[in-house]
Amino acid sequence: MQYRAISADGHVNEPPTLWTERLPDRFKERGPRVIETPNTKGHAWIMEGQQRPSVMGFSSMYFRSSQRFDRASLVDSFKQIKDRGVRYEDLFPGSYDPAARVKEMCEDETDAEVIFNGVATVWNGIKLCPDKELSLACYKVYNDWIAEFQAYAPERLVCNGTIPTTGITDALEELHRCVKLGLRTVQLESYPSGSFSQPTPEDDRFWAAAVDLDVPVNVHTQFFFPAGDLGSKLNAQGVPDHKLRAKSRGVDVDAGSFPVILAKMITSGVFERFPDLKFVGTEVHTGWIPYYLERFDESVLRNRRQWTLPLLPSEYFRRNVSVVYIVDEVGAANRYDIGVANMMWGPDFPHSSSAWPVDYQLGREILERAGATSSEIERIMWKNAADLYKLPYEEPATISGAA
Amino acid sequence: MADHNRYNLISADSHVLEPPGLFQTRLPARLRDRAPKLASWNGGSAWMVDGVDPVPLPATAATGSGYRLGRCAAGKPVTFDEVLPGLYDPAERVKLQHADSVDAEILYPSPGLWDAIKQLDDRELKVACVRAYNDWMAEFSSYNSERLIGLAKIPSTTVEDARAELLRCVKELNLRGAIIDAWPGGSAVAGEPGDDLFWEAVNDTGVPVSLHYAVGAYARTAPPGGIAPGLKPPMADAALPLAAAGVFDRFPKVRLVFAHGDAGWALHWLEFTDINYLRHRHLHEYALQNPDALPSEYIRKHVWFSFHHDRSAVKNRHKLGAAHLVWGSHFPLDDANWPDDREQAMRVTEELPAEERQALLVSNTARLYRLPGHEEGFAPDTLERFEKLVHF
Repeated sequence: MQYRAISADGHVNEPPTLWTERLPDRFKERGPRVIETPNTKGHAWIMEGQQRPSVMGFSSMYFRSSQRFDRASLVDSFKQIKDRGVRYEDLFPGSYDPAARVKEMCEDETDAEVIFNGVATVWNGIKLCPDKELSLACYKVYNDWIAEFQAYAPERLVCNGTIPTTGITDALEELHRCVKLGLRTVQLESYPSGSFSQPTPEDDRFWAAAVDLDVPVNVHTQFFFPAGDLGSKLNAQGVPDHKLRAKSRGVDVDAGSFPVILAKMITSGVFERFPDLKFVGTEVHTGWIPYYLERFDESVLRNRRQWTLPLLPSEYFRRNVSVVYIVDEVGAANRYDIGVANMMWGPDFPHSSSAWPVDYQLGREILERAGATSSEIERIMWKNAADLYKLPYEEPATISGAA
Repeated sequence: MADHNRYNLISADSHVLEPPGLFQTRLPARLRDRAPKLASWNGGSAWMVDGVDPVPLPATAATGSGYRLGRCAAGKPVTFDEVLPGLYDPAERVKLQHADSVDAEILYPSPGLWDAIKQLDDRELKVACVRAYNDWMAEFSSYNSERLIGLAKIPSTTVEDARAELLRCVKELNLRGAIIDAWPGGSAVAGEPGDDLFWEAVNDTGVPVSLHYAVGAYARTAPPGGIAPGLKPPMADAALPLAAAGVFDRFPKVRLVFAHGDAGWALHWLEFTDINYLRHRHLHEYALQNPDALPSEYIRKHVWFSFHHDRSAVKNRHKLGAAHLVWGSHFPLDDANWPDDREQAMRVTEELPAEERQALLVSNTARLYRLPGHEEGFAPDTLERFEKLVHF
C-alpha cells in the first residue's frame, strides 16, 4: 500500500517545562516558562525581556470536528478561548507526546506529517529576546527535543529544526547540528542573517549549506508574529488588530509576509545562484499565486533593462518553490496556473484552522470538487511532500497497530 | 465608434494631465500666490506645491505609456513642451483615442499632483484647487460627452465640503462619477459615522466613487512602477471596514470602483475574508447587518474592479462577478500600452466568448457610468451573480 495523505503542515505545542528543565543552569531562571494569566486563568508563555505574556490561543484546537467544520463546537471553543483562556491540559496530548501524536494522525487518516514549532506562544519571547546568547540556547533546547520527538516514528514525523535569529554564524552552525540530529528540514524565522525584513549577501552561506546538505528550507507563514498576536482578529472597523499593534511598535508586518519574502528571494537572485535550493512557504495558501506571478512576469517583460536574471519570476517559482495550504478552493480551481507540482496539502493540525479528524476527507473533497484528477490529488495530498522530504512511497508498516 | 452610441472599447481608467495655468487662472485672486504652479525643475517641469517636495511630470507624459521603451530615455525629466497635447486638450485627446482604437475613457486626474495637494494645510486653498480642477474637467468632457468621461475630484477637507462638491459636480457640471483620495471627514479609517453625510449624497446621486490604488490622508495614489509581483493594492483595506460600518446597508446604491489595482489578487482575499468570517466571527468585534450574507458578498455587490494585464481575473470572472470587471488602459501611465491598447485588451480577454468579452471591455463600464445608449444601467440581478467561494 502506498501513502494516502502526508500533511505538509502540522505543529507541536512545546512541553511547558521544556526550557526550565533543559536550559543550562545559568539560563534556567531567565528562559521561557508557563504562567497562569490572572484574569482568564489560561496558560501563557513568558521569558526574560518579554513585557507581554503570549497566551495559548489559536495554537491549539481542543475540540473534535465531527463533521466538516462543526460550527457549534467551534463557537464554543472560541468563546472559551476568549473567556477562560487555553490551558495545557486542554491540548491534544499529541502536541508534545509523539506516541499520542501518531494515534491522532491515524484518526485523521494522515500517514505522515511535516511538523513545525508552536509558532507564536513561546517563540515571541525567544525571537524578541535582547540577550542573543540566551535566545540561541533556547533554540538549541528546542531542536534537541524536536529531534527526539521525531525519533519516535521517523517514517511518520518529519520535524523542522528551527533556525536561530541571532545571526548568520549561529544559523549555519545550528543548520549543521540539526542535520546531525537527524532532522530533514528546517524552518526560518528570519532571513539567515537574523534580519526580519531584508535579505543580505551573507545569507548565501546558509543557502549554499542548505543545498549541500539537501535540506528543504521552510518559511511558516511569515517572519514575524507580534507578541500577543491573535491571528485574524479584526477590530470594530474590520481592521486587523495585530497590524495596528505592530505599527505602534515600529514593526513592519508586511515586510515579513511570505509574498514579500518570495519577491525578494527571486529578485535578489537567490534561486539563480542556488538552482537546487528547495524553498517552501507553509500555511501561505495558493490562490494568490496566479496573479502574483502573472503580474511579476509582465513587469519584468516591460522592464527588461532592469532585469539581469536569465529566467522569469514564474520560472524560478516553479523550479524552486513549494506552497502549502490548509483549505483553498480558489487555489484548487487555479492549480494549473500555480503548478500541481508546487502545491502541498497541510491542514495545520492541531491549530484552530484544522478540521481534525476530517482533514483528509476535506482535503480530498476540495480537490475533487475542483475537478482534479486522481493523479493530481495524489500529487497534492502526498506525493509532492514525499518527494521533497524523501519519504518512501510505501505507507508505514505500523499503521494498523498504531491506530 | 462606428455609429452613434456604439462603443467597441472603453477604458475605465485613463488619466489627464492638468494644464500649467489651471490654478493660476481659475483660483480666486487672493489664493493665486499660494496656488500650485508648474515650474522648471531639474531639467524638466515639476509642480510646486507649498511645503511639499516638487512633483515632476510623469516620464510617460511624453510617450503615452512605458510600453515603447525605446522612446523613453531612462530617467530623463520631461518638460511640459514634450507632453502629448492630448493629455490636456480635449480635441487632441480624441485623436489619441482614435490612434489607440479606444472609443471612450473614464478620466482620472494626475495622482502625483493631487497626492501633493492633499498635503496642503489650508482648507480654503485645497477646496479651491479641487473646484478649479472640476470646472476645467467639466469643460474638457463637454467637448465630446460620449468619449470624454471626467470624474469629479472630491475634497477631503470636511465631510460638508465633500458632499457639496459632489452634488455640484453631478448636478451642475454633469460629471458622471467621482474620485476620493482620502476619507471625506479626514479620518484614518473607512466608514466613520461622520462620513455618512457624504455617502448619503453618493447614494442619492447614484454615481460611482473611485479609489485609485490607495486611499487616506497620506496614501500614495500613484501606483509604483517597475518590477514587482501582483499584490493586494492598499485601497482594498477600505472594503471590509465599509461593510462592517453598515455603509452598504444604509446606502445600498453606493458603488465603489477600485481603479488601477487589477483584480486577480482579490480572489484569494475574498475567499479568506469569508473563511475567517465563517470560522472566527465569534472573536471578531465586527459584524454584518445581514446575518445571512458573507463579507465577500457585500464587497462583490458594491465594488467594481478595473483591470489591465490580468488574465487571472478574466479567467475567474464568475468568482469576482462578471458584471464588476472593467478593463482600463492606464493611459498615459507607465503600465499602459498606448497606442496598442486595443491589442492588449483583446489579448487579455482572448479566451472569452464574444458576449462576455464585450461586457468586460465595453458594456460594464458603459452601464456603470450610464453612458449614452446605456442609461438604464445594469439589470439588478446581474450585480449579484457571482460564484460562492467557500463551500466547506
